[in-house]
Formats: sequence, structure tokens, C-alpha cells
Amino acid sequence: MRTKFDSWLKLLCLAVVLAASLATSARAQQPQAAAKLQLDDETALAGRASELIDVNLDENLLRIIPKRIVTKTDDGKQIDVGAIIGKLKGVYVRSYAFTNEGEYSEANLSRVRQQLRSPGWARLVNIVKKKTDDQMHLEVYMMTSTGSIDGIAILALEPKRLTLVNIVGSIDLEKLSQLEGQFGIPELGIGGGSGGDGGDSKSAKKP
Amino acid sequence: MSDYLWDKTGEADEDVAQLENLLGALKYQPRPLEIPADAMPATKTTATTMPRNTRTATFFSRPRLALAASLVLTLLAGLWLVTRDSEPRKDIVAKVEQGGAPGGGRQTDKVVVPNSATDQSAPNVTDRNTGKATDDKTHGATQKSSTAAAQQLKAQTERPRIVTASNAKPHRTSRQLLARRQKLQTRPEENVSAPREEIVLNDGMRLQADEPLTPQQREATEQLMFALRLTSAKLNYAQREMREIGRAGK
Repeated sequence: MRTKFDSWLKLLCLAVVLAASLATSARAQQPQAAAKLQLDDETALAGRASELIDVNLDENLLRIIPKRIVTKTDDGKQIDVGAIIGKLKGVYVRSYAFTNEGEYSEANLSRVRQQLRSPGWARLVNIVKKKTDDQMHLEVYMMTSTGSIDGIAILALEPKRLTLVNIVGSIDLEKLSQLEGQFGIPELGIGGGSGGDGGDSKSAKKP
Repeated sequence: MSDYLWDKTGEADEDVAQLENLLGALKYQPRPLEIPADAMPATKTTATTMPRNTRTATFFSRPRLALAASLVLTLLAGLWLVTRDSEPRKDIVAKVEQGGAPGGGRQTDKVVVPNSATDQSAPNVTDRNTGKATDDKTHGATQKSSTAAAQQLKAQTERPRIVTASNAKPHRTSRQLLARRQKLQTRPEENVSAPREEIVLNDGMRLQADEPLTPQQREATEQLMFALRLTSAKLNYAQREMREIGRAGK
């Protein structure tokens, strides 16, 4: 009887240890998994959009990109792109361009906003510009844990364009901010709402 | 008086016999020890029912102690190996120097080994490429007479032993130093010779990679760069707007 009790006790201890290790590993993976937003529920928007830019780069696709990619800024400064993307787990972009204003509403963003209200996400920036020539509502969310960034989400609402960006993984914002308007090519013109049609962004356009 | 009380010989007195009869039941009777069943310890006691010191003794049983000791030893050995590989031994190799041959010949790589009085069978200067001994002329003379041999022995113990890279005893530290040196010599050439592939993306962005991209890599890179630039543009826009708001506030 006592021997049976001992063996049960040992099994119980083993189970507890296994559960603890699983919980630890799950907890370690949790923030970055939670940093991924579900952006695939906007089929209605895609139907109304005149142009759709859809970037889906999960961890497997990111891995095939060579890690040693270097580029130079206009002033000759080298930017190590590999260092920027080294710790990324996923890059997801949805950008819808519409012919007319008012073809999307806040209701189309309810699911994304609901995810951004979950614990871990914090809204860093909320800019609302209501000038008629430069209307823009920009929100930047960030998920952080233990001092590192686990994910970024950007919602950019313009009259004729809606852009959702979700970057999963640790990223250096300072290096990332150097990427716009460099390499001898003009800026995308999609930051300030002035070039609402996406400028030269057609390279990533998907049919 | 009989000797009955002394060695049980002779006749016993009546008093003595009576006392013997009375106390005889209490005398020693050889028989095996009988322990009551309830006083017997359990065959396998659990750790919780054992006293603390017994539990400790069970926990640190011999097999467990042996296992723990072997684990600790393995760890220590691994640590020692790692530290041994990473640190050059200071007592053997002082430096690697590049010097010319005595007669102005070709250059040879030499490892200067500090002198060791106990190691008298060490080789002398040997050419790196041929492997032949190229020590000074006194070396040949010392082979002829014992006096000269003694002098040479003395000279060996007084000056540092010079061993070239080719005939040096296979030693990890010298090999490491030479490998590092060769790597340092070849690295600039590799950097110069390695072609950096320039990649021009569809939007005009120029990138440099070590190797040409496959179509899949190119597609993924284009998408990634677009996404990153878009993100960068939005973040920079937010930064600019925040600055403007700050200025307006002032």
C-alpha cells in the first residue's frame, strides 16, 4: 500500500515539474504570440477597396531573407537591415485604398481594436488631424514585456486609405525610423496623408 | 567443608542446594533473541514517517551522491575544457614573431618559446618550409667534442629556445596563434574578394547582400522592405506631429 502511494507521489511530482516547465515556456512565448493581430477579417473592406496591399510575412518567410543585407543612406551611412529584421517574428500589413471617402467606418476596425484593448498593448500615440486637406487619424500601439518591444501595431485612417500594420517581435525603433526616405528614392508619401494613393508602393501590391 | 561452592565438586550443603533450587529458574539459559512483532521496524518506511536525520541520510544515499558527484565532475571538466581552449597558455608561448633568415634569406615564422632548463631535448631553429635544422654554426661543432657539447648544452639552457612553426611540437596554443594569424592575414583578402551583390528592388531601393537572391527571397525582401518603410513613414509622421504639437504648445 505504502509502495503504491510512493509511486503515485513520484508521478505527481513529475507531473508538477512538467506542468511548471510547460507553463514557463508558454509564458515565454505568450507575449510575442499575443502581439500578432488577426487582420484577416476585413473581406468586406477588400471588396470595396480599389487597391489592396497585403503583406504577410510570418517567421518562416522571414527566415528565408538573408540576414546580411546592407544599404546606404543618401549621406553614405550604412544601415544594417539584417540587424533590424533579426528578431522579427512576423510582419503583416493591410492597406486599402478607396475611390471615394467614407467607404469604411469604425465598425470595420472593431475586431482589431478589441484585440488592441487586451492586456499588454498600450497606445503610445494618437494623432487626430481634422483639417480638410490633411485629415489623418494615426494610432501607434506597442506591446512590451520586461523592457523589450514584443510588437507594434499602427492604425492609420485617412479619408481614402486605411492602413493596418502589425509587426511581431523585437524591433529597434531608432533603426527602423531611418528606413524612410533613404536609399536615393523619394519618401513613400503615405505618412502624412499628402500622397494618399500610396506613391511608389505598387511594388507590394497584390492582385 | 566441600569445594562445591568453588568448583561444584563434592557434596552440596542443604542450604546451598535449597537456594539453588529456588534461584535455578532465573539462571542463564541460552536461546535465540525473540523480538516482539510490534516492536519490529517497518520494512520500508516513508520519508515522512522517518525522523529528520534519517530522511537526510536516505536522501543523500550512496547512489545519489555518486550520481551528483559525477555530474559535478562532468560540469567542472567541461568548464575547464572551455576555459582551457579559450585562454592561451602563457608559460609556453610568449609571442609569434615574423623574422628574416640569418643570411637575409626568406622570412620564416617563428614561435619563441621561453627557456626551460628541464627540457634539454628541444629542437633548435628549423626552417619552416624545408624542416631542416638551420641553427648557427656552433651547432655542428658541438657534435665533435664533449666539451663543445657541454658548451652547447649550457648555451641551450641560457638562451630562449626557438622553434619554427613547422617543426614545433603539436601544441594547441601555438596552433591557435598561428591559425589566428593566418586568419588575420587572409581576412582582408576575403573581404576584398567577396563580391557584394547589389540588389535593386522594384521601387528603386538598392540593397547589398552577400549572395544573389532567389526569386522567393527577392519577393519576401521586397514585401518586407515595403512594410518596414511604411512603418517607418508612419512612425516618423507621428514623431513630426508630436514635435509640432510640442512647439505649438510652447
